[in-house]
Amino acid sequence: MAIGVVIVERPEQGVSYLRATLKGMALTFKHLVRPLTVSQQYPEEKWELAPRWRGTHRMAVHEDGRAKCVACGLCPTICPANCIKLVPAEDENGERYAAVYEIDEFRCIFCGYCQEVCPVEAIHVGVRARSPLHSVVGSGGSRVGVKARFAMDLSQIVFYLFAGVAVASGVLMVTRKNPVYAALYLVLALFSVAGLFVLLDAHFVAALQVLIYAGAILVLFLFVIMLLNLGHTLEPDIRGRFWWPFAGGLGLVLLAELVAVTRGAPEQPDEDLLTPLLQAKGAVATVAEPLFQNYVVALEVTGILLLVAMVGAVVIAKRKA
Amino acid sequence: MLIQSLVLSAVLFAIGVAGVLLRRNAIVMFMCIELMLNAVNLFLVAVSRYAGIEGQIFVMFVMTVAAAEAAVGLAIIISIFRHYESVDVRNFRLLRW
Repeated sequence: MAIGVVIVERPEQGVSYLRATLKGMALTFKHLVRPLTVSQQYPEEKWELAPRWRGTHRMAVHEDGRAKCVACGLCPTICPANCIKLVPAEDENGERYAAVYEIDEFRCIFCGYCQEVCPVEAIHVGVRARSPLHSVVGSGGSRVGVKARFAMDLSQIVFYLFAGVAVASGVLMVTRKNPVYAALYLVLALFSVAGLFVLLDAHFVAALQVLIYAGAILVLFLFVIMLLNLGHTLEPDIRGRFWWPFAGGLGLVLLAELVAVTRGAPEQPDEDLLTPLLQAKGAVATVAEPLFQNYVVALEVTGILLLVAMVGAVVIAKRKA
Repeated sequence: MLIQSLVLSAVLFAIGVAGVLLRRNAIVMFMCIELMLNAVNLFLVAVSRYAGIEGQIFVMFVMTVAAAEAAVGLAIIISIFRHYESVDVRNFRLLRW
């Protein structure tokens, strides 16, 4: 037997799990009465970064805005991850500068060697530029571009997916004989439009769409269909041969006109007004503030409208005595 | 994505119009009207990014009106159905029951 080995008597039978369980429970209860806050509420409170924290790179500049880099080529040489691309050039005064200076932040291991090796202290991996979404020196292969492009592609794909579902279920709704099927296809179309609202950053409207349209209104439709027992009377209620070209043609003419109107919309429209609002106030307050400040009278009037509609619906639908 | 949204809302609106013209079932015609209202909502939300938040505010009022319209319209349909035992719009010739 090797030296220093201690044999511990471990009873293999007759050991109750109760004691260990109670010990664990006691710890839990201890934390219950004296809660230790260990969770960091990240976006609201941020970590205190050490003064020597090595973040993303930052190019130091002279007072006149010129980069301090003299394109000596030491940092691409020492970089262990080989992530710095530097093309030197000379200006008319014979001073060297970096014509191309790109750091691939995906590849960088944040060792800080480039900062240490720099003879003119031009490059810093510092606290000030700690955010990964901060713009990077010579942002050629930076993280920002990659992420933005990927999000763009993804939202385009999702957009076309929802748009296709909406159009297909709209057409199916018009052409199905059974009104129950038509109602269900309408639900699908409305859900797709709700998805599009989310893509268009109208989150609150999307929630309302699901609740009011897909929820309340469609339930009302289905309720009436089933109350009147229309689900299986498949009398052909689609108009005859004359109406098909008429309706289709009119729809196409209308479509052409509307699309012609949208052609007038600029390809790159004006400044984005919505995103700063959403970032400042959040999804609900963005719509709630104008709704309850500028449009509060209209809001009250809609309340009265709903009341009138409710009373009217009850009166009209009531069975005559 | 603005242009695509506007074109999509035009397509949905045209489908709704064609549906109203094609169908004789009053309930399905109502559904097509809801689809048209929704196409307009999509338009308003799409332009609200550039034209101001009022677009989304207006969508809420449109939704309220749509709800009120659905309630009253379906009540009328129920009332007519009691009389004619049908929801075919060919029967709806008289403004009384």
